[in-house]
Amino acid sequence: MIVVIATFSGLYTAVRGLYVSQASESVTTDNISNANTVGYSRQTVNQTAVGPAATYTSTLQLGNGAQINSVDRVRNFRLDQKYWQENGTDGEWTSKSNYLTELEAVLNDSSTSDSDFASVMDDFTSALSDLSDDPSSSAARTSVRETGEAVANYLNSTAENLSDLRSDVNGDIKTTVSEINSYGKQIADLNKQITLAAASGANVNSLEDQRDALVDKLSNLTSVQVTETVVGKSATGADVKTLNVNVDGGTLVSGNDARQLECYEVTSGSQAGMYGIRWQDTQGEYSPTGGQLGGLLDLRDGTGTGSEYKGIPYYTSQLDDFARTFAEAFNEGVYKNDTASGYGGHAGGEGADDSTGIRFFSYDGKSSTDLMNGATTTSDIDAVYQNITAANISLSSDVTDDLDKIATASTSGGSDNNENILNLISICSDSKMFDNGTPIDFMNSMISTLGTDSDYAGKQSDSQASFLKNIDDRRTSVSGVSVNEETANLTIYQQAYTASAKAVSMWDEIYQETISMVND
Amino acid sequence: MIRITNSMMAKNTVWNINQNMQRLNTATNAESTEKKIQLASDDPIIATRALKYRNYVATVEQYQKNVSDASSWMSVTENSLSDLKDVLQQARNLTVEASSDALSDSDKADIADQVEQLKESAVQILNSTYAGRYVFGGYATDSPPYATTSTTAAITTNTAGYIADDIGVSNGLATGNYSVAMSGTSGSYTLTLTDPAGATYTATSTDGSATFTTASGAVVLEAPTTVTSPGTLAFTVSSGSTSSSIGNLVTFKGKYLDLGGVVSSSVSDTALNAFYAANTANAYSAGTDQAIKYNTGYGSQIAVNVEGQDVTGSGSGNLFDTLDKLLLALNGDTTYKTIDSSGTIQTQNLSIDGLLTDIDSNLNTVLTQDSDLGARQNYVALCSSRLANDSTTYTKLMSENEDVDIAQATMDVATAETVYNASLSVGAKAISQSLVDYLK
Repeated sequence: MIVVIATFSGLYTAVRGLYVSQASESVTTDNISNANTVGYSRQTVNQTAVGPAATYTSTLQLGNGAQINSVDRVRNFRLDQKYWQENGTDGEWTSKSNYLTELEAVLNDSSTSDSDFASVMDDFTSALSDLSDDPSSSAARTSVRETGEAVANYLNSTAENLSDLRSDVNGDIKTTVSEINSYGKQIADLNKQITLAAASGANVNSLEDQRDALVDKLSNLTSVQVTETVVGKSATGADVKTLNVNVDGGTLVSGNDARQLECYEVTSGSQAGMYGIRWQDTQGEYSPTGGQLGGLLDLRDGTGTGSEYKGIPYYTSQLDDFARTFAEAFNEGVYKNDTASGYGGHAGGEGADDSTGIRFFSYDGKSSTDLMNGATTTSDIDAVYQNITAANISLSSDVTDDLDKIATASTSGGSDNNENILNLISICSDSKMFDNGTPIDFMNSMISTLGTDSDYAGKQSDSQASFLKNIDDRRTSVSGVSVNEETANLTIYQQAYTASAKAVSMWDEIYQETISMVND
Repeated sequence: MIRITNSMMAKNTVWNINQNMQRLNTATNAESTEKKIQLASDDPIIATRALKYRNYVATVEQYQKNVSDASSWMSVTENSLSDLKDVLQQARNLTVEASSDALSDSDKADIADQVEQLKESAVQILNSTYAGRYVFGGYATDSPPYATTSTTAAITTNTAGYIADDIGVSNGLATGNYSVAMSGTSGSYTLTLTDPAGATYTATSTDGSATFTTASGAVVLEAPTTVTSPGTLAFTVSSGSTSSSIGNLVTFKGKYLDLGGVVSSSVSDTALNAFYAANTANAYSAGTDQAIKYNTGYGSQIAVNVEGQDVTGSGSGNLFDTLDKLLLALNGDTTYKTIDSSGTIQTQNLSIDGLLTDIDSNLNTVLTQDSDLGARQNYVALCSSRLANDSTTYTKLMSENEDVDIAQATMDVATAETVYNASLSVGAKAISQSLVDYLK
């Protein structure tokens, strides 16, 4: 049998080997260079053997070397989806935990602090007690006025701080919304680029990496649901996929289009002056429930009623409630819902100058007459105190101008008559004033609610971060670059290259021999 | 087998180092602040308890201050009552001495001087102060409650309702000439007579006396017998006033403890009536208790003062009435006048022996107040020791709740530091090696 061999097929096979090894080395080098690139997915070479051809005889089939079909990007979409899902929860708890810690600092709830509410209130009751021991002493009266002002100032400044904090959160919401918009647009642009590039046969791996990195960031801001749709085939035959991103029931990115959100100012209702969020095109409301945005909105708007989160408005209304109830109880001797306290209040007592009907607490520095505005019935009096909030409570101008108006006595005459002051002291520690008990109990329960919520948010944030890290580790396990692996690959491909090079030179010798055979 | 990349190892190492740093940070904070928690969220239960305990401790401190003040006030009162007892005891001794028949009038006068001094002492004692506040004054602590004033009664005459006796002056105001006849036994006495034309005459009688009574009584006037032609005289009675001394009376808060209670018999009924009528508004009547209360514990208050009227008594038989009676008796009087609530003047008998009973009863009143005060002082002392215990207990609870045990904290820091250092050194080794180091 005569074997006819295609002359240079051996050389071509060796050369193919060289190309494949060289290409593999490039991919490996690419991987090594990108070992620290954030979001980079390692690429592997999809190498197959070239189908055999009838090189020598129709019955003797030899392989024809190797070829690279594609450079694949190693990425697990399911893990990505899981990561994006959990990232939203992480964003929510982290933002809540941060802001609640700030809120704690505002309410000064540290047990080491000397300027927290308990200390301020203790100082006030001590001053009242000193005054009851010596009602005619002007030093004791001054002390009562000063500590009373401290109580009012504490409430004022805390209310102001809460309001500032709320504005900060509001600002953060606007920033977050514009970030979402920006990411959405970028993702849509990348979708477009990827589609075009894939159609023309270019390698889209790095573009896809960029797109996934953007979704990573977006998923922290708001809860996302991501789906892939196949829009075509690339030149290598692989599917080209675009990502569609849904946020809380609305479509943010669909193919090459991205919708935008906008912030607008709410003019009425409990959120007046704050930003509302809606879709720019349909003007439909957008109410996110998760992610940083969801957390921020809970903090900014949560009133604590029903199952709402106890956000800043909850604490503001608690402070207002405290200011109102305490002022009314101290001034009039009446508790919430007209419960008589059993003690007379400040207005029922007499000052050192025999004045009566003076109110100790007021708002905006109004005098007793301006405050009461002629109210006499219990419902009118209740209505008067609705005007007082934590932000505007103050001492009445009667007391700040004239210390003698502090009503220590029960009836006129008798400079040591301290019966009214004893009543006022009893009022300050009466457990019927609030549902939770005494004024100190009320503030304590507010602070312990905050402490518990903050602790919970912190723990949730920590555990979620740990969980997220776990998922990320699994992602990295699949798509991260291992320097060890790549280094080993370098060696492997280099050896293969050397072997192929050797094969080339061997074939070259054979051809030379063959040619010299002909050349005589 | 799970695939681990170098970046995963590096990330994990950094993560673990960070966890250890956090632990170290918390431990260091606890050690340097000596508090278990920095924010309420670190441990909400500890935080709530901390707030409650601080409140308790502050309240107990305030009560301790009150109790200490109360104790001082009561101490001053106790000393005063003791001094008052001595005064009364001394008065009693003098009374016993004076009841002996062997004393002469000058001896009695000496004793009277001493009693006068005792009366002044009693007033001074009852005006004692504590830190500038008068302790026996009830609520009115800014001015001395007791004062001795020399009191007089102003007797005014009245133009209406006179009847004439031998003078032809009738009731009413008919003008005309009247003669006035006067009879009297002693004294020089001037009448001013005005006739309808406005001319005035004064007449001095050498033997005239007139009896005047107030408002509804009758005025009897008689012209001087030296007036030669009484028929030419016109007569008007014009208002005038004379004052008559009632004695050195003691007032309590500006009011009389026993209005018109003990008055010398030498004071005329007119004067006494005038005095009584002018001062009905100034009679002391016991109002509501003016007890100054201090808070000495949760829901407990104590009255710290003793009111003056409880010590001296009010109404008849009070301490100063007794001393006044003693003075009158030493002066030689055997009766004294008193006016009762309906305005009737009565004359009572006076004997030095009888006064012993009165002094004993006054002493008894003081003793009763003293023992009541003593009981309250005991209660205050009890409160004080109980509050001291409470303070210790609550401070201990507060500290146990929020302070760290220094030994524990230092150990925690040492442990955290060791773990941290270990993680650093191990981590360093793990991340610095890779296959590249071993390839030739």
